[in-house]
Amino acid sequence: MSQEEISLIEESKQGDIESFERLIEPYQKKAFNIAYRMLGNLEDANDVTQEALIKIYRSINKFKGNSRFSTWLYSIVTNSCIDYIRKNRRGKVIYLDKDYETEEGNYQLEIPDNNNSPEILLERKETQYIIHDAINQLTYEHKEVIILRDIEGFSYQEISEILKCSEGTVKSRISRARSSLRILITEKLKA
Amino acid sequence: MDCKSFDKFSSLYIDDVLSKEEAIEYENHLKHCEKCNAAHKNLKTIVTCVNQMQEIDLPSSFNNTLREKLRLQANKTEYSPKKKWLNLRLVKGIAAGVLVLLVTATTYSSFMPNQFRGKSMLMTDEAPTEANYAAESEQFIDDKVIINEDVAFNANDQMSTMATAENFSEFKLIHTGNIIIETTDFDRVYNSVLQLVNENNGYIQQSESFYRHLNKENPKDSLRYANITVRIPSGTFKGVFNEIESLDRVISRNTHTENITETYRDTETQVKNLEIQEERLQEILRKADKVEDLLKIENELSRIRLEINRYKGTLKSYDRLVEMSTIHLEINEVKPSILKIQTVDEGIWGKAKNNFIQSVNAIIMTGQKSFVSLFGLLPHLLIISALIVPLGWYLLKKYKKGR
Repeated sequence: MSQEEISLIEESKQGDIESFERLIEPYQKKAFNIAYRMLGNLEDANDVTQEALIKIYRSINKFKGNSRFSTWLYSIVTNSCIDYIRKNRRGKVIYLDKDYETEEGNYQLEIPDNNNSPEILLERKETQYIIHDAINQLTYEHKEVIILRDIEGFSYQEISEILKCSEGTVKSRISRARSSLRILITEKLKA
Repeated sequence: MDCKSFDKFSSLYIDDVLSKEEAIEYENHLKHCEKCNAAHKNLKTIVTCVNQMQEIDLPSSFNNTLREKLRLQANKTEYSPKKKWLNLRLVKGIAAGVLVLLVTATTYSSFMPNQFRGKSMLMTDEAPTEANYAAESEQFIDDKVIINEDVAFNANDQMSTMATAENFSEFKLIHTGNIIIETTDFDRVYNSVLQLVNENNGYIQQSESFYRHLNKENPKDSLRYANITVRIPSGTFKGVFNEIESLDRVISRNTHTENITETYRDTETQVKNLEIQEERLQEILRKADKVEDLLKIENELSRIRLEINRYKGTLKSYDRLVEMSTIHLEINEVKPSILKIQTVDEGIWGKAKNNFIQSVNAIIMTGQKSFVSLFGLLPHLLIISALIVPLGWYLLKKYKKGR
């Protein structure tokens, strides 16, 4: 941690908003991206990131400097995302592939699939969409390691600090997450 | 290295965290196994794709809304929730204290001995009204006297006027007084009453005293009660009454004055009339010659003399009553008010102790009883267990076999 960051943390502990903003500035974008990948849409990502940052501001007194500030920040962001997913799993999520029952029989929800409209799709973009979809279908445990490792490029050690688990756990979790991601994507490409 | 551990190694190989030996082993496997090689290439492409995913920029309003929310949060923290919590705790503490006080007060009053409670209530609330009432009744009696006698005397004049009136001995008045005194120093009050009576040439007509509340373990805590009837010369009635009143706290007082002037005078005139009649009869007796007449007159004379004697006796008793006034005095010993709480506390502790001992006894009793009954049941239990244990064992074995 740089000297500047330490002094900014101290000032933030006094409740100085400007110092806090300068403190989180370098990490905001990454935090937002993690949330976006975790939650799959921009609005939720926006809400959750801001909520997490405010939580950090409120509880910055609890930060004792045992780990790097960035790791602490990202771990709060990921945990907030998981909390949000858990809270909204029931009732709010509409499954596109689920059969919905009515009096006239079963039907599947059909929504226009803009993602695949050929006019706007470049090949690279299409793969990105497929990957994005596949990531969204992972369980949140797998999702978070894929996001942290492959999208945001954290090292194994950093991930173990963020998730507060051992490196061995991180290794095996990443392995399993990647293989299930691979299976998902292969299936999508076949379809 | 086989295809099963492919999943375990592939991802780590891509991230280059495998040890050298493991990496070589993995590479060797890929050369031989077509399937794993394809899967590896697949995974590698996917990881590269994921790595290349573009980062999204922050929404333009992100910083502004965040700043607003932070401001809000900062304002909230200025309120200092800790202080609020503290206040809440303070309030809770006070509430708890008040509750405890209330409960103590209720138990205190409900554990107080009955007599005590009654007296103390009188003492605190009713005593003044009582005094007023006494004063009123005195006034009332005075008024009655005045009206009955049709004497022009000022209604406002009270005992003093009465006393002067008596000095002229125009009126025959009987004074009676009642006082109830409450004291913490029984002996002092009792002795000073006796002294007062002696000094004023009175006497004690009747005296009675006993322990109202006897504490054998601590005789000093016992409470006494005395009921005394005192006779004193009428002239000193007012003074003695006031002095007794000033001895200690007066719970109740009333004075009563009965005017017997009219009946007294009537009796007097009757006696005079009878005496005149007697004289006349004696004159007739002297003049009489016949024995028959003599006897008749003697009879009449003795009847009149009897009557005179009776009336004179009444007059004498009236004189005594008028001469000596009566005071009924009750002395009630109470404990000093500071000590009261202590006694009640002791009562609570005593009760708690008793209760505790009772429950311990009950537990011991239950323990003994259950032990005795268990011992009594032992033969039955032995027989039952002798039957059940082998049966259970047999069933268990069968069950295990079945599985």
